[in-house]
Amino acid sequence: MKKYILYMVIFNIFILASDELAIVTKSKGLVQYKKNDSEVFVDKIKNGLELYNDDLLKTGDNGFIMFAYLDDGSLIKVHKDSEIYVTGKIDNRNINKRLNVNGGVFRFDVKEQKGDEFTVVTPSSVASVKGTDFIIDVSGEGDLFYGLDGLVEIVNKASNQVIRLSKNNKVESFQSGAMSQAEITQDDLLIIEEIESQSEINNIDDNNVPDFDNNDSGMQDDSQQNINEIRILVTNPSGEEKEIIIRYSE
Amino acid sequence: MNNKIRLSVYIFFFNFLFSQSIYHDSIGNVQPSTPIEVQVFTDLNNQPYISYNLFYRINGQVSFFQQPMLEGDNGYYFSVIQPNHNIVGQIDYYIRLEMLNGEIITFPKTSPVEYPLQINIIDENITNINSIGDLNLLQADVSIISPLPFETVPSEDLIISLSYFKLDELDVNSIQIFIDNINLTNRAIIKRNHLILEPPKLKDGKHKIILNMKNLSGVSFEPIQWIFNVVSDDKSLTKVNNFEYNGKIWNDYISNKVDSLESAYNVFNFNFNGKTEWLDFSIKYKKNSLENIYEQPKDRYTFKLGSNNVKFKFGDFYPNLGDYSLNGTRVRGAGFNVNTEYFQFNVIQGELNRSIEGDPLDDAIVISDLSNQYIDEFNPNQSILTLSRDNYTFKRDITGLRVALGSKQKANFGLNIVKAKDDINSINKFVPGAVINLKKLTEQFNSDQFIDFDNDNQYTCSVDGDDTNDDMIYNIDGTLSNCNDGIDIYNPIIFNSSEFINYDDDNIVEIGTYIDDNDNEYLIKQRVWDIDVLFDDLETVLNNNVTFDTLDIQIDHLSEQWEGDKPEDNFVIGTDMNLNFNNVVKIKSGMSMSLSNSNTWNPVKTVEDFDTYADEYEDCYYGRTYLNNFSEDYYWDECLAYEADGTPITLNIDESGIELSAIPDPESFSSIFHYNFDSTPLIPFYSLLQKSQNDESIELSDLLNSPEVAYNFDVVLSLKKQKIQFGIKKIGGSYNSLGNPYLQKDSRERYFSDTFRFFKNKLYINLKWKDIKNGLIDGVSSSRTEKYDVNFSIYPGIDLPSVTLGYGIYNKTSGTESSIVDTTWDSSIPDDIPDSTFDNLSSFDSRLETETKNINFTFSQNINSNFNHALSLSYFSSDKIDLLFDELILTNSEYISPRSMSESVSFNLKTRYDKSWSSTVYMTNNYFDFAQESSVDYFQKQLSSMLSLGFTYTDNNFLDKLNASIDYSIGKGSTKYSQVGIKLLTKLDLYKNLDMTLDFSKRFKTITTVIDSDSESSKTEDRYSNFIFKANIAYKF
Repeated sequence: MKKYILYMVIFNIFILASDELAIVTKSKGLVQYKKNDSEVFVDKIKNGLELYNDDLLKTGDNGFIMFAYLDDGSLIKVHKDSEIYVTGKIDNRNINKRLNVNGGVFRFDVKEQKGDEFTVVTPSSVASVKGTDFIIDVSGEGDLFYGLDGLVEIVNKASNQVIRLSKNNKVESFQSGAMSQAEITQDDLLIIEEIESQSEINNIDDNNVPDFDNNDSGMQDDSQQNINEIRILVTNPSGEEKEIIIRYSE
Repeated sequence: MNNKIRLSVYIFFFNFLFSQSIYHDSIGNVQPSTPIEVQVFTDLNNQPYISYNLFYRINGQVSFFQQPMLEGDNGYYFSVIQPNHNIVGQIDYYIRLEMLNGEIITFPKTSPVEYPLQINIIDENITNINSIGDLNLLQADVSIISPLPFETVPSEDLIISLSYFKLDELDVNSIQIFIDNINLTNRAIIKRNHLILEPPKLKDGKHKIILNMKNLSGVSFEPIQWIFNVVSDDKSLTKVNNFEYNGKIWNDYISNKVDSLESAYNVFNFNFNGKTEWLDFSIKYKKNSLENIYEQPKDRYTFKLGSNNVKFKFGDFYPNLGDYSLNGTRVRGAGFNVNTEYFQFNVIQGELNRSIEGDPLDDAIVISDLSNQYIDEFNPNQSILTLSRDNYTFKRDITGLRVALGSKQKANFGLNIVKAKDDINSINKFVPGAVINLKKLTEQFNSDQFIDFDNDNQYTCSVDGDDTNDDMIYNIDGTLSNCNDGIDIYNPIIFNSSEFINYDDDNIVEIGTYIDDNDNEYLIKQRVWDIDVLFDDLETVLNNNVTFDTLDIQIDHLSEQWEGDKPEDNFVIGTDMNLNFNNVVKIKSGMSMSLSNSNTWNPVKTVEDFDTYADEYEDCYYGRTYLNNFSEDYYWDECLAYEADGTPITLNIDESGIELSAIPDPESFSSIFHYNFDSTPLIPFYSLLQKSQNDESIELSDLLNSPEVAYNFDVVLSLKKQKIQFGIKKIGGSYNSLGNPYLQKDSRERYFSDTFRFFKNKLYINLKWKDIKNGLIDGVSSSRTEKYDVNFSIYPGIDLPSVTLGYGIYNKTSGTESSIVDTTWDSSIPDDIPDSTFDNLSSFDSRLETETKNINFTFSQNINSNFNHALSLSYFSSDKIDLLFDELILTNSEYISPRSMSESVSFNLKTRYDKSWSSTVYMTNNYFDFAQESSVDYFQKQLSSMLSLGFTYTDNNFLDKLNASIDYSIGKGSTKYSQVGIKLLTKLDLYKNLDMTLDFSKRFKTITTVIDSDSESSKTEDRYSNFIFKANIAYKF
């Protein structure tokens, strides 16, 4: 029985889940990716990359990556010089999410969570949210949280002190155990704006963007034609199957 | 034409009824992504109305948007639904007119919310898809991952992804995906929970995605459609309109009552941010109801203007020019900032404090002195009454500069200079209407002090030879006398004047306590005159009042050296450095040096003045002393000593001091710093100058150890599995910065920490060491604290419990074995120990040596059964041991040990029942004790427990959040109390971007005091009813 429990614990700790948890939706600059079962970092990351439990993402001094969780679209922006482990477990068509952050700047746009609270673990703090929008700047001395919407419960790991971060407030949580809370100042807003300018995601401006024409597909000329496909199924001696897809346009 | 005829009929009909009505032709079908004008003919019959709105909701929405109906021509009102709300499906809408007389008219007339009008959005160009009108469609619970609806994306970044993670029984083979009506299903990678489509290169502009899918039974889900925008490059994303803006208006009201104190205040805020293609600007304004001219400003206003690299600030702002010079202190003035990749420049000018004249009714002018002076032979004993300003604050000007070179990301070197000086002309010498208390003038008319044996507030004595019922005069030498000794009490009269605004001739004050031979205590009292007069009438009173007229008083009105704060000057110069080696090694360092002057009313000194400031020798040296025994009539000439007969004296130097020529001429830089004997340090870098003069080598440590220097040096090493940080920071005892007034001076801190990360950041181990020394010159007031901490935190997996465990040992030592008793400055002696305690001690052992052991532990676990539970348990204990107790209690029986013990256990359970409802149960138990039990009066022991229950309801509509909780707590030990608290919080979404939050908590507290534990009647109960109410209303635009 003891053995069984031990196996269960170890299995839970080091489980390499095979289900996709999230998808990379934007990546630029130097971004490194390490899959949970690999020791090798990959430098070239394409939009659409699927992320699994315990995958590691690192950004360089000009790097930025954004990914979204598959169950609810909760969006995580990882800014430059940052490091984050993506963790999660699928439970009853929900993903219980936890992010282990080592350092850097992150924005979390967390949708209303139906299962466990969304948790962010940093070297100094643990932040739990049900659904909110906030930024964390994790540095050597501690963490700086900016509340943009909703509520975040922040626990300092050294002192167990708890502070609730609300909209338009910021909370500092230091490795020494100290915590402080204050209102976001105009200078903070400039910092946030600077952070956000990295991601360069703007909403559409109806007056400034050419309308699409329903009679026009909107695609470039070389893509307007019908696309055809040839699929060839190949099998290796061990029985593994792979499909070769050849797409061509007329 | 038909419309017009119909309209005429309606108008006639409405006029006939003499009431208000609205007429509207339903819209029917529209093309998507086009503006929809809702036009209504309205006959108001010349009656005023309160509001006239269009309510509409787009496909699938529960709540309605609201926007005003605008007045057009000929009785027509209209409102336009924007194209971005006209996408797919249908739009429900209704119109609502509210008249001033309370009448409400809607269209449709009955149940408009339940049965609104409908506009069908028909996209004729999208074929082969199911129509929204198909009643058999299934609702599709999907998440659009990328691109988000209405998002603008560069074409090269475009990836289309949608998650159907939550859909049951989806037939993934049925999925079809269209972009702009072209079927691109074959290009898509369709997986079990999501799909990804890398589309062909799209043209700039709007594009529409449509996704069709069916379940395993072949029933179609509602089509998923959304629009996004493509631009050809990143630059297009940063383009802005000619003018964009946003802002917020909000108001906070707080009212509270804590025991007997009640307060309320209101804060109004307005923020506006504007953005043009070239410049950004922002305006911020805060109006606080507590603003008044007798305190520093509570209102704030700021105007900022600039672009990415250049910024200008005006009003209140919080500059950071250096860690030790000016770091986040509010400045009211102007600032200019240039910030480029390799050059940064920041200059500020303004005020740290505004001038405050002080309250005329609260000692703005005081009598600082009453003395006798010889004026001339006709006035040999002239009384001079000196008037001084008091309770004022000078305007404190500040100017600052920081220039830095190098990349902020890689290597950056900065120089900063901050100058702050009080403006002595900012305060007026005269304060019309000021009330002056004449205490200094009238104290000569106060009565003798007397022992009020019968405590009737008056001196009573009968000449009968028996003192039994008599009060006694308490003489200056401590002897007693009264009428039976033939001595009358001195009790003169001051005649009243019409100019007096306060004339209290019966003000009996308690001076002290008299203890008789039987240890009975009686109060010593005195009749003290308390008279106030207006500043403008003072001269009249002195000349006309019979009592004062005889004193022949002249008024001297001080122009400087006032009773209140003296004007200060401060100059700080510093450097800073930031180095970053590929994010692996980061070094941050800074050093500052300060000069400060505590009284610029005193004049700038010359170098020659320093010759005899620290010693009596006119030897052209500062601080040089000699071993010679000089004769009484020796003299100095040209920096040399001579006997009375002119024989040169051979000087034997004791302390070398420094040559006057080594001191810069204070007058030459008086415009930068006001240098005189009130300056700190008096001689900057004195020890360095001495070493230089003695030809000794000067090392970096000599500079760093100078008391006028502050510095820090911090290194962070980010290694693969660990982060190491170490450094030192020191602030000298003579370091002062008016721009950074709350620095802990005279202290040095060294630290080291190492954080290890294991198992993909699931296990952290953190080791910390810190050594803090306060009072860098060894002495009674110096102390040293060493802290050792080790922390483990384990977050193994989603379903497994998280655990943190911390252990710390803190050692503190301070004081010396034999200190001279001076309780006025020795902070190590508790304030509540009377001086008399030390009367019989020739010296005081102020040593303190303690060891504190801290343990903290937390356990948290999520439990998912029918509901989601989040459980957490925490334990904390702190045990401070007095290592000198056994030794000190032997030499001082009244010794109070600084030992203490505290423990805390808490339990928290949060349960989430569904999307809307959740509850919280919280229990905590705390224990604390202090000092040794035998110290009786000083020993404290407190036990407290609390139980709190609460729930939260949330919906995404009008009621954003409702939270209610009740708690009960009890305390036993030094303070016995019970308390019941209730808390109510509600957050309302009143309208789009208009929110209101109401937060109310009330606590009923009963404190029981037992004077005699054996007697029930000696128990008293004090009841308090405290509350705090906060209201916030905010609108964003």
